[in-house]
Amino acid sequence: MSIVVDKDILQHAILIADAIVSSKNVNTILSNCLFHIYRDSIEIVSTDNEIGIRTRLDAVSDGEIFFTANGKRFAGILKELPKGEVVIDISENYQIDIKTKAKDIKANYTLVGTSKDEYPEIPFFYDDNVIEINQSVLRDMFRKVLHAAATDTIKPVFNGVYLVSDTPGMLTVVATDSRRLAIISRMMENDIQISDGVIIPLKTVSEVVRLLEPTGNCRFSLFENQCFFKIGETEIVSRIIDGQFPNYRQVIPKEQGITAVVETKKINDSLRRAMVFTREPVNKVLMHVGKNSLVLETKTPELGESTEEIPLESNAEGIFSIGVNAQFLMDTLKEIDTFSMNIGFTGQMSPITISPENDDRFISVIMPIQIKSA
Amino acid sequence: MNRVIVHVDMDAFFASVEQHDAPDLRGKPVIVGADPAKGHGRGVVCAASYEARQFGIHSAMPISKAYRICPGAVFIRPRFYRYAEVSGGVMDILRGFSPIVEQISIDEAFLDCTGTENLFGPPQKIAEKIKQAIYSSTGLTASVGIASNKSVAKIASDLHKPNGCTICPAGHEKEFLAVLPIRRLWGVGKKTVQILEAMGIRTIGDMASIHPDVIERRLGKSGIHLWILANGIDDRPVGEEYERKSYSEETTFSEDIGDDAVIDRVLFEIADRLSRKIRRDECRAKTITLKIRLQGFETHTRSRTLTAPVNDVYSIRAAASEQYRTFDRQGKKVRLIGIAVSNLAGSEADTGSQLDLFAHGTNTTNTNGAPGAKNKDMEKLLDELKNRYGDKITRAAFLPGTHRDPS
Repeated sequence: MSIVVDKDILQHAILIADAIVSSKNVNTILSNCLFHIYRDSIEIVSTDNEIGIRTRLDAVSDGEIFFTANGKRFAGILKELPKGEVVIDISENYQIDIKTKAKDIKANYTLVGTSKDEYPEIPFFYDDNVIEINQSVLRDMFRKVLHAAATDTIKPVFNGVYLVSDTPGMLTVVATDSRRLAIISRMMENDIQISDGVIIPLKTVSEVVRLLEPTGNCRFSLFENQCFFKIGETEIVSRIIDGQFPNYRQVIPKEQGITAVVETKKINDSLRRAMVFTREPVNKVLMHVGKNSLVLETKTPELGESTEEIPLESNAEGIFSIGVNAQFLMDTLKEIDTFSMNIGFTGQMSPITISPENDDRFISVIMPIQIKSA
Repeated sequence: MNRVIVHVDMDAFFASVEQHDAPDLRGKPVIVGADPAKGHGRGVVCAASYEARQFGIHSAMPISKAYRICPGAVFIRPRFYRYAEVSGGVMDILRGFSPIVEQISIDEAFLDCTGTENLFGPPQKIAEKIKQAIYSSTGLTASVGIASNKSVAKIASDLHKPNGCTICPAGHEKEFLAVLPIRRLWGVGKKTVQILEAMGIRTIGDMASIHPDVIERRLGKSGIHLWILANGIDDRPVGEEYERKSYSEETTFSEDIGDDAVIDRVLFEIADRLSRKIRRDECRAKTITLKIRLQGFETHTRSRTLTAPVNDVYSIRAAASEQYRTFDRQGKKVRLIGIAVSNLAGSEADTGSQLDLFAHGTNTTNTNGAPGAKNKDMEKLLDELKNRYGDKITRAAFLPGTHRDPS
């Protein structure tokens, strides 16, 4: 059987599916994508056992067939072919012949495929209680909290993003690795029902962020221990993380004794310079907060030290000093796109809060590093 | 000024201690290690006396193989407390020769004897005096290497064992090394030897004469380090304190195991012992490595590096278990399983203490077993109990396989 399809469109679709395929599982069926050609369309499915992706595109075909093939190789040869349509023939023993319609290339490429027999079933998008969410809003929310999630899977609940709607019409996403936390809430145009929050694995969220586009809505649903996203022609299904997300409301200070306003770029630049004089993994920098100035100080044995003063406005009486991991601060500052930002402190052992100016629905919380009180 | 670096290496240390303590063992092949169980034993050889080495027995060889080769040898279970005692005595003697002593293992140390010539004489004399002092105090022999740097001194001490003394005159390091086979170079293991020999490099001289870029392409950055050593250059100072780079614990099963639940339980026990060790030393580790030996002795390791250093049993076990779950043993049974931790950071006190958001909350168990303040307090308490009453007073109750026979 044979199909005709634009090579760029096919390549793009294969890459969407193949993104979650690890190059490590060399010999298993999961290193391949599953292709289903039917009714003038191609459906491409992939999975890493935790996430499944299903995407589809239009193509002119003369029959129906299932087969699996290595997505990286398939996309690889398409990438090297000239623009335009390709003709793909799949034989009964799953030899995939790829020919370009371009006149100046006289060549034949054959990729070895397999039958779909061992390929796991990937659930379809679950169509009940679907929530519609504006794509660019969701992408922005996810992006702003991702940095606070734990990248290792030692404590599974921290290796994900918590999604909840505990206020009517409002969606909240939270991520934390237990040393810092980021939380953002936005009003939704449509009704949403996620009163019991869910923890979506970090890898799934990263894939979703990659697929979300600047306009239009995406669809989201939950069924048993799985969550579903539908973005354009692509569906993502993922397990949700089992376990109780920590009580994040409790650790966000309601009121801060010291509140300060500082220019975002100034503190960012200053931190970058200070970080030269700090060492992994603590990257300790001392912040001395005065009424009109912030002094950033580092002192690392056998490395060096720095001090830099930048302007700030605060209600501090005297000087308040606190230690913090400079990398955590920088990660947070990257997500703040306003000219200035608010920082709040309550004590040397209490969380620091950071918000963009005029947006108290995006809060970053960072636990300090204990410093010996002078 | 040229340095005078002395490397002292006790000869067949464990076996020699045994032969010293039991004079009737002298002159006989003595093998210290696991119980050979009439050739069905499953551990490895810890140390072999020179008499046993003549049969081709060496440390790390399976004990069953050693038994096959030399069934008449005297097999002894190791007495680590005794070796530690003797080792302590040897180190005290060495500290009488220089204030700068770096113990690198139980039976090896470096001394920086630069500037002691007026006191003890030229290198040859220093070596004789050290050997004599060790012998008269412990009855054991040592081999000594002296050179202007650590790498060459270590290689030298190994050249004329036992009871040897080898001195590389300052300025002649490169030619001293050139004729030696590449495996003698400090830091070159079996794998590296294979790679280098495939490149046509057989001697240390071959390596020194090749362009370092060629080595770096094959071995990465560590290749450059080896190339510098091959050229007889090594600026590393003799550290006064032996600094640990890793901790490890492992278990050899009495028969090969195919039951994942049993292996998971053993991983927990290993993680428990290991985490107590590193907590005792006020240390935390960022890299956790699973070691797994399958039937037929093929050995694999799988490492992962965490975002923050840990020392609690939960994190170490979780990392090791995850490596185990994703490891494909292709149906083969497991002979040995172990965990090593490396990439060590000091205690919270000397790295600055990062505070935890949820440590004071009531929800310590809600974070899926992540150690909060309560778990940390509990670990501290358990550590104290186990130190006082022994390891077996507690065990985790929730593990599957706990009450099963390992089969």
